[in-house]
Amino acid sequence: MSTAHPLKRSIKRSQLVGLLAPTLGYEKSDGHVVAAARELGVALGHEVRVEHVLAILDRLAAAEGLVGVAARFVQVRGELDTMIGAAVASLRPQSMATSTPTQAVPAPRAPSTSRVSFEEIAMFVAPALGDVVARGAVGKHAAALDVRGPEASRADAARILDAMSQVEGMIGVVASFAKARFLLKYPA
Amino acid sequence: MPMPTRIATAIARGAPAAAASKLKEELFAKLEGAPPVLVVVFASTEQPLAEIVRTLAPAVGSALLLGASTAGEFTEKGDAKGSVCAFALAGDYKVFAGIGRSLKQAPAQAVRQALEGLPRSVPGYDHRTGILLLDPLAGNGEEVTLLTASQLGVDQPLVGGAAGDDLQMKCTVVSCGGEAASDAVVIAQIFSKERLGLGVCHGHTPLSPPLHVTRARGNVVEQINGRPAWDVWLEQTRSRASERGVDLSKMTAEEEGGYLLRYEAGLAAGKELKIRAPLSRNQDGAISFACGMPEGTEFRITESAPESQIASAREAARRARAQLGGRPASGALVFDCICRNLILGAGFSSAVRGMSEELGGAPLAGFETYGEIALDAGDLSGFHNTTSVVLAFP
Repeated sequence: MSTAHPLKRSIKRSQLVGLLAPTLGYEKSDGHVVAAARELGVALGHEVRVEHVLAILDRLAAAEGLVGVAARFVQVRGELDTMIGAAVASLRPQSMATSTPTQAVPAPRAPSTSRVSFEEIAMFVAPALGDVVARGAVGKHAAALDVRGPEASRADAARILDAMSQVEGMIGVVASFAKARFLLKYPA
Repeated sequence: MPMPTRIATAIARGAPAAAASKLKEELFAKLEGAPPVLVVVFASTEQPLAEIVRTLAPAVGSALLLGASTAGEFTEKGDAKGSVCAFALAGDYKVFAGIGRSLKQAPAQAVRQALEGLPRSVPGYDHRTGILLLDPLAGNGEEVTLLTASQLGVDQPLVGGAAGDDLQMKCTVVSCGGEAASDAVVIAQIFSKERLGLGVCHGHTPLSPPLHVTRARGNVVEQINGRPAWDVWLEQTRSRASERGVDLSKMTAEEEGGYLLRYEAGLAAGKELKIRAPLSRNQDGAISFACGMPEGTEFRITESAPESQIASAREAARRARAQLGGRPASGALVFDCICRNLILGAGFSSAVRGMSEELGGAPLAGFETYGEIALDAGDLSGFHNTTSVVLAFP
């Protein structure tokens, strides 16, 4: 990892687009990234500076509908932190100031307060894994995240599916796909 | 004035090059001068796919040519073995496709490779439908289906099938253009001005009590209830096989693939059964499946009565037609599990004709697969077994 300040580092444009793709599809994601960059006055190449990544995600997160849902979820998950080698939350005040020179970015909407049962979370992966493996995987990852059942907040439910999506092999692939469906049903 | 859809189907036998030439002649004659935009071929191992597509590719002009090896081929006229059948689509469609390799080792990369450079939208064509053809011996059918769906976005219907090899379980092949390969995936995008119809149905019921996968690696189930998987499968199905006049103790290695596909695994998934196909027995008594089977999976071995198989095939066609919103079907692509043929035998042809009848007598072509793919908006799983998948064109 580069020793440059995290905001001055870059990630590949395809990585940024890939964060949104499970929910929006790659082409649509790329289109939204390009449009947001254009609105921000950011010239997009194959690589995107982290400060611009954060600004683009902020702008998309303020959008209505599925685009906003997808971007807000990217903002709260750890994958972007890993990608840029720093905690996004620690960079945010500075990035907001440097990345939105012309227009203020509306704050993301408050997260939903709805509760989701463990059983319902499991049903997002059960069609591919079967009920028994689905319930077992949800219980295991909830425990690892210290989320106590039988219900979870919408945010914790998304974290459980996100943790499952990091598992190698079939469970990870199924959970990654299910997460996109979950976000559609329970938008933030 | 929109260009009307025309669909032609054909089936041929004989030497591969001659069969390919016969297909071309028949398809073009039936299209009556309408230029095809898509040609799909389904070929038995007796008609090597690489040779078929090498002959056909130059002949189909600018049409996209896709293909898969099979465990049986059929058109609306009936089914065959050792043959090659084809489906040609002409009309107001835009079709694009790509092929990805190293499917077993790197499925996500293979999917990205297949999609690389494909347009995801075409102005004026508001509907898009994906076709996925894959090598099931890579053992990751469900994973590849969901990876593809993730890349295409959550609102795009996806259909397709897992290639076969006449129950040899040795080498299954898919093709795109003039290129045929195993350990590969082909992804096509059909852009249309009207919605295509997608219908799915299976007719299996549980045979065994609940069983548990107690040791597995990816798609290989080593132990069930703490015992070698193969032993458990034989034990649970012996009685029913005997009722059909089959003595499992005399089963040859060549017969094992067909046996396993007749008695597949059904996972409890809510009120439904999710069917998973066992493909082959390994030397250590483990069983290889067409997709991952995690440890802890609870399932029952299933079977299906012949009448259920015929009824579910018709139902899949009815559901596909219903999605056309009252417009007549011009024809259909069908992906149907080889197990239906194993169960129905000579009656399989009547199941195929039944599908065509439900589509108003429209032409259809398809193949007997080792796995069927159907994922509509809102679905959470897309890889099926023992299922009929019908893609109807208005």
